[in-house]
Amino acid sequence: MTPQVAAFYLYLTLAALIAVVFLVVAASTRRPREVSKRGANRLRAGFFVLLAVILFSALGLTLGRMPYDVWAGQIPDQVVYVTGKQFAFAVAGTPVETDEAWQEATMSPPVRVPAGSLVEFRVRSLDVNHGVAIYDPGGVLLGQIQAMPGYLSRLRMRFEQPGYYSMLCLEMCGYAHSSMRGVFIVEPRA
Amino acid sequence: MSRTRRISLALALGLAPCAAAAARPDRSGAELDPLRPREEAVLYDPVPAGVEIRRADGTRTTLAQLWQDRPLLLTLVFARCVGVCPPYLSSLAQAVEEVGGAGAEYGVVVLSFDPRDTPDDMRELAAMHGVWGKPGWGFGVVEGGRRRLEEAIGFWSRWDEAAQQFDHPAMTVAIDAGHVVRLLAGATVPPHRLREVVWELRHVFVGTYPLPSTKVAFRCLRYSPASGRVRLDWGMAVLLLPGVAMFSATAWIFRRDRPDRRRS
Amino acid sequence: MSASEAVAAADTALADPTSARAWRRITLHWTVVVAVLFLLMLLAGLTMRAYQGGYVMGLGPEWFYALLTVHGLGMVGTWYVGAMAGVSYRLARFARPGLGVARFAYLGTAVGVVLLVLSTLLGRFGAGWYFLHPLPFHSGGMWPEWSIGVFFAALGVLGVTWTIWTLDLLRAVARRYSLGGALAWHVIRGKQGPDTPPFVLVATSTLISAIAAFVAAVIMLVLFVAEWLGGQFVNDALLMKNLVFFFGHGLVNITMYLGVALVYDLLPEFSSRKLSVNKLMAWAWNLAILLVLLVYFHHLYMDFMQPRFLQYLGQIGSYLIAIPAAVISIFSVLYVVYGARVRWTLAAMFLFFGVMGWAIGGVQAVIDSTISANFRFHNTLWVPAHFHTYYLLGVVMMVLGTLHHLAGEFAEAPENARLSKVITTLFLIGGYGFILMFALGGAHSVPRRFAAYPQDVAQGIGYARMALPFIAVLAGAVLLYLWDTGRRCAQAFRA
Repeated sequence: MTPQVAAFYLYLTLAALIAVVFLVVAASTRRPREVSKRGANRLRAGFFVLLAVILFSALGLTLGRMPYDVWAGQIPDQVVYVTGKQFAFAVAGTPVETDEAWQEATMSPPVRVPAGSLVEFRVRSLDVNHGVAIYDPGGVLLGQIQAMPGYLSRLRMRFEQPGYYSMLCLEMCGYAHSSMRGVFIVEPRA
Repeated sequence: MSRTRRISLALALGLAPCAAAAARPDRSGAELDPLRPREEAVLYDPVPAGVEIRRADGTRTTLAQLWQDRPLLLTLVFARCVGVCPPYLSSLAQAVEEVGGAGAEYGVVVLSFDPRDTPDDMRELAAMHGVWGKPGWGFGVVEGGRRRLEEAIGFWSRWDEAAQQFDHPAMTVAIDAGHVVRLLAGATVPPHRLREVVWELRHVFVGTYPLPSTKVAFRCLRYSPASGRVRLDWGMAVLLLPGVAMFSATAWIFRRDRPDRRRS
Repeated sequence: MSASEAVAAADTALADPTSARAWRRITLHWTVVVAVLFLLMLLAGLTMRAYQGGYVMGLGPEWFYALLTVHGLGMVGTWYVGAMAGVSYRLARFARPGLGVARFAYLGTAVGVVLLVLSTLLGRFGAGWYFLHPLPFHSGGMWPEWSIGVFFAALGVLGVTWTIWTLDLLRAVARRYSLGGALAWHVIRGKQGPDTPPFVLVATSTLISAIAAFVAAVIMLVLFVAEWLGGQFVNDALLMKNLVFFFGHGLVNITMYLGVALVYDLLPEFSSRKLSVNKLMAWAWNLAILLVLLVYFHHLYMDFMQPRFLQYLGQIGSYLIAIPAAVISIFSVLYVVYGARVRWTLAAMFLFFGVMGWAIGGVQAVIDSTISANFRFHNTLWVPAHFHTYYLLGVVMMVLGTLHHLAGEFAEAPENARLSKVITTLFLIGGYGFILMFALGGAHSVPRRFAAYPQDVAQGIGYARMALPFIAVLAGAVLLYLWDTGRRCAQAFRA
């Protein structure tokens, strides 16, 4: 199960719970009754504590797992340069900084990366904001980073599964936004 | 201005004060100076371990022995330089002073690539810049493996007969565990750029940096990781304006001496 | 009621019969405008989903993006003005909002909408509703220069109009209440003070935050136009992104809270149980003023150049803001209804289930505002799932319920209980089914804002197709609602 699907099930469960609560409360109006304010306040206090515990635990668990610093302090095995421009990603082993270089790189054979190696993506854009989203051979989104004009950004990832990996653009960038792509290959370990 | 734009302007919002903007040519292409050292060309490449160095105090060592203890900032100069080296070293010394951490977290190694330079020359150079004996600072000459070192870090030097000087770029590389992890090229060392490099050496991931040829109107949020505070660049000031406007407008609307105030 | 309270009560816009009549008329006009815009924008949305399902032939992708732009801005604008119309009318019970300003807002909105439609449907301007810099200047040959100018003009007109409207409502509150009175500081301190209705507390808090959002919009527009006209300098893309989301998130957040203000105000009228401001409620809505401004950073998680501490602030703020929302507002609504004698009119049902939508959308919001989750969900269909829940099944229901009730009140028309139940049920089934398809898409890595789905994410086509019958059900509910409300409006106009 991918993290996305797990989160979806979490959402469904909580949404169903909320719906049940609301429907029960609505149905309760068929038999009107007195509700003590103190009872309500106590219930609310309990709800507040529960919610606070859940939220703060989630904060604690998730704030340490940011995609920015993962693999920091290690020397990457390979740097892959990704340059976005309307409407393709140039993915190359050397920096792509001009329109001509981008043109050439988009038509070159794909970059190859050994499975399990630490890859650093250096991402930039030549025109507008693009979103570099990396999809594994099974079509699952593994992670993403924005390519903002005027900035160079870095993302480090490891890929275990060999095969063709696509990059789709996830920041709307014009009329051909949905046909924008890049590709790289993860080779099996030698 | 085309007629369409004039009409559109007439319909558009009135102009609020705008700070002066730097003129900007194109932003897509960096100035591609083939002689300017490129970080990408040497990034994560190993630095030759066996480069022989004679320290300013006369003792001998290798580059690998220097980086064994701690990461290094390495720059190549020559003592007889009347060009960029003196101001560059001053700038580097100042930036290191401001950023801090030299000695404790990293070492600063200044080596001469000029075969004529002696350890004494380098000691004098260090004294001239007020960094002789300062923690973390090391001066010396390259005795063996100079060409390998230059190639590995993207440095070059060329003898100019007419000027009787070496022509070379001003640059500093950051070396961590025997690999180049950053390269700072340019006639000065801006403290905020050095700060990013030092963070890299501290193994705090620097996720991004602005691209060299892009000069924009308001550089946004430039924060100071060393002090943990946001340094107010113009862009940040711009972002605070809405909040300030909100408080001011509210205070004014709800002022006590409203002429039409009628409260229960 | 004390003598001074009686004087204050008489000094409201609705106390005077002529003024009350004028207010009823302008509210009816707003109801018609909101209804028409809603239907048109819904059709635009239906077209887009059908396009993604591969059912729309002969239309290039640039039209998809033009529709996307008009649908996004159109819906955001429609529900903002709908909520403001409801809030200004209900505020007229406590104060004197400016009738002239209300009319000016109506006119300004109409002009802005016309300009927006011209820019998008005529000019094919397709930079999306948040027109992320520098995309408006890189049309790829698809939209002409003039459409950029007209688009900025539309934003300018709407921005100025809505800012003035917001300030006027605050002025009206300030005439009756001090700042501390309106924000119930005396309740926080446990001291004596005016009997601040919850509605005034929520509306004041929200409108104050709105000022910041609009000022951010002004700054951003000025920078945009200066770059467009000047050509000499280039704006920093990161600053512009911060500004557009400061404004954009602010605008939708306060729209939601204006809807919530209507719930606080109107729902107790259908119930035997009432609400009053207590210490917790006062704390929650005072904190909200600041929190609303700090959460927008969750839109920039994937911009790695944003300073780290702002990313932390985004996640922490987004989590914290859930607490007052859930614990105070949602709980209060449940308390007002539970076991009470409730008159289940369409308005009551829509207000109640609108709060449910707010709660459910909030779950998605908390998940998506978790940075490690956002790494996988950002700009996938998960995002439209979230904000369509907040809007269609949240604030839209709150506003539609309010306007239906007001139209009925003006027309003195009876409630058709069966029709109301049918409308509500169809709306909920159609609405939740429709957004389920978005949520499924996000769970399966389908990107948002794609005119056509490439092979890698071909499952997106299936989800788009499955959304269509639900949209049909929703459209049925909307048409029935429009018919019922339209009847009431027509009757009210004749009265």
